Amino acid sequence: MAWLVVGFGCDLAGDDGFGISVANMVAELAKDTPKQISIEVVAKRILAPEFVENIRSADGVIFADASATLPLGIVQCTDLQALRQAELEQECCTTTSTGGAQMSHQCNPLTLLHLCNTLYLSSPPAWLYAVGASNFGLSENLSSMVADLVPKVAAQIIDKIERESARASSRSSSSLKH
Amino acid sequence: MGKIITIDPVTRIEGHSKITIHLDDNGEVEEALFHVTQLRGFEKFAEGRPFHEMPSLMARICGICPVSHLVASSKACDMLMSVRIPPTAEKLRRIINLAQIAQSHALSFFYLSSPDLLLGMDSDPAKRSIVGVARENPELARSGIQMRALGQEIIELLGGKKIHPGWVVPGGVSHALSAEHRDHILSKLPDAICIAQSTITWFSQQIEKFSEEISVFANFPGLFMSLIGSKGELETYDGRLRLADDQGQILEDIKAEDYKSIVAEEINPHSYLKSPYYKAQGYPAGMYRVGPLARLHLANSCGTPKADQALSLFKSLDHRSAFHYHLARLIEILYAFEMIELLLRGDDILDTHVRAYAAANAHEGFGISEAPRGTLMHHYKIDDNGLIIYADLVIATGHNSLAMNKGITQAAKHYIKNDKLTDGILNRIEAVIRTFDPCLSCSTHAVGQMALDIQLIDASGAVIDRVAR
Repeated sequence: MAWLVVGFGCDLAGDDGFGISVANMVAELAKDTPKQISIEVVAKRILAPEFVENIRSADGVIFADASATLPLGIVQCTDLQALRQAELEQECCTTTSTGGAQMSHQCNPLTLLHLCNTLYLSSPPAWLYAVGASNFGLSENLSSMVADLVPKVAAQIIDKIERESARASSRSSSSLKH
Repeated sequence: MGKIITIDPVTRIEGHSKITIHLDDNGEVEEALFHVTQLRGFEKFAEGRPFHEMPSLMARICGICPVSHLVASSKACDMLMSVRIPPTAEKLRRIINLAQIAQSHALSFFYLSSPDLLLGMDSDPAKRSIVGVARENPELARSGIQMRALGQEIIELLGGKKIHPGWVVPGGVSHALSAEHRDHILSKLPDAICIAQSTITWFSQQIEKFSEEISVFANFPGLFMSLIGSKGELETYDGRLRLADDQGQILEDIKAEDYKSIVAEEINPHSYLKSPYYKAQGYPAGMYRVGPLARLHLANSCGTPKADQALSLFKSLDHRSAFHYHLARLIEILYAFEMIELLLRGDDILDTHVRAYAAANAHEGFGISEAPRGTLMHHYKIDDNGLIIYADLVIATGHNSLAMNKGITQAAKHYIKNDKLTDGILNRIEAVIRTFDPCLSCSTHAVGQMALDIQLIDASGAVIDRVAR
């Protein structure tokens, strides 16, 4: 399977750099994964619409980001494909003070998946790992609690990729037998 | 008692700004002002730094057009070193600058303005985005995504990364182009050229729907300025600086580094964006416009066959209207891809001699090039140790400051008939600003999120209506 791991955020805005740090660590851990699993890791300041081309060509996508709404230090994994279409559209069309497709050229993961579906009639399974954070001021450093979660979330992402790949492989063998 | 309307923030532009619309005692629009609310500071940060650091420092001004600053800054440093860069290096710089223009124009047209152009100025604001465009016309959205992606890919292949590449350096570029990368880019250009042509055809069929907007979107006589080639052709990297009126009468045609002899800057209390003007006509009468509209107004040809065909369409329109920035952008995308193809097919494009080396040999340097939004000027002075003692940047968006204010005043006077605002009116006033595609992080060197604020203010200064996002 071809996986795409996307850590996003601004590494000059304190905890907002969480996704970038996770991406860097996943890139290290990915060297030890089985050869049949391909993992492309990307660290991005923002998600722009053209990134839909990368998403389109992946079999599975995992996003990592800091969240200002989750409680501090809480890690949440959301299955983005499981969100109902109505919720997804609502999320995509929500204008926030921090940007969004209505405001500028920035997208969130849901908007990108929605764009992928609209433009290419399919989108890969995708998950978002978000961590509750509170320090988004100018700083090149993560707060200690958020920094401590980087290796934990990176390991969870690798584990998720291995489990989902094994599940897909087993589904594929089973369909061949039938 | 008069009133003020405020739009804050202005949406779908590159930066954080607001618009205030001032009404007189009779409720008629007196004037509208475009406020850039964030502070620039790069000229001061640069003082004391070694001159050779300037290209990579100045590129950090902006994440959308870093290549433009990289190119202008490196040209200023070439002058400080008193070197003539190798011919292949100049061609490679031209290619990366054209790729920058293509990707930035694609972002402006497809991501920021096509929702208005496809869905309508009065359409549901929740759907006026690239997502709404994708639903309504997937092919148009795919075209935009492909063109921006290709522009960025070319930048990445040449410069090593899409944003803030360090490849353009004082004296040339840091390394030669490989045959593999050249062939990869060449393989993608024919499709991109077809897509650009198709989009021009589609958009030219939409233009008549916007006759009212065309008539009031910054549609007035005035001056236009850009670099120009030796035969009067479109030029984005070098050439002379030309200023002409809307009838095409040339008022100035000078060496680009002499720009300070014709351009001065005024500071306005309402904005951190400075307002350059043509000295000979004074402030604010010396208002002029730059960018794709000005470049195509001044050029007698593009120099590439398909863009030249499209240029004849542009020349047939009333291109005093800022609305036609949109068509000009599409034509320049087409031109950029055609010209990149021509340059890549040149015999010496893989030459490995791409950099001249020297220490500082002059105390003053100018670098002028065309950025996506218009003429970009970097001016540095250094001491005997090569350290920057003075840096002055005149940014493309700044040149358009006076025209943007006059443009939103014209549109506000036309659309606002009483002191209540509708979303359609608000969007049209924002859309005037979007035609200019201002890049406010470039012009003010912003930190943080960018966002628009429209206010209706009475004669006593009280805010009586406000729409903020």
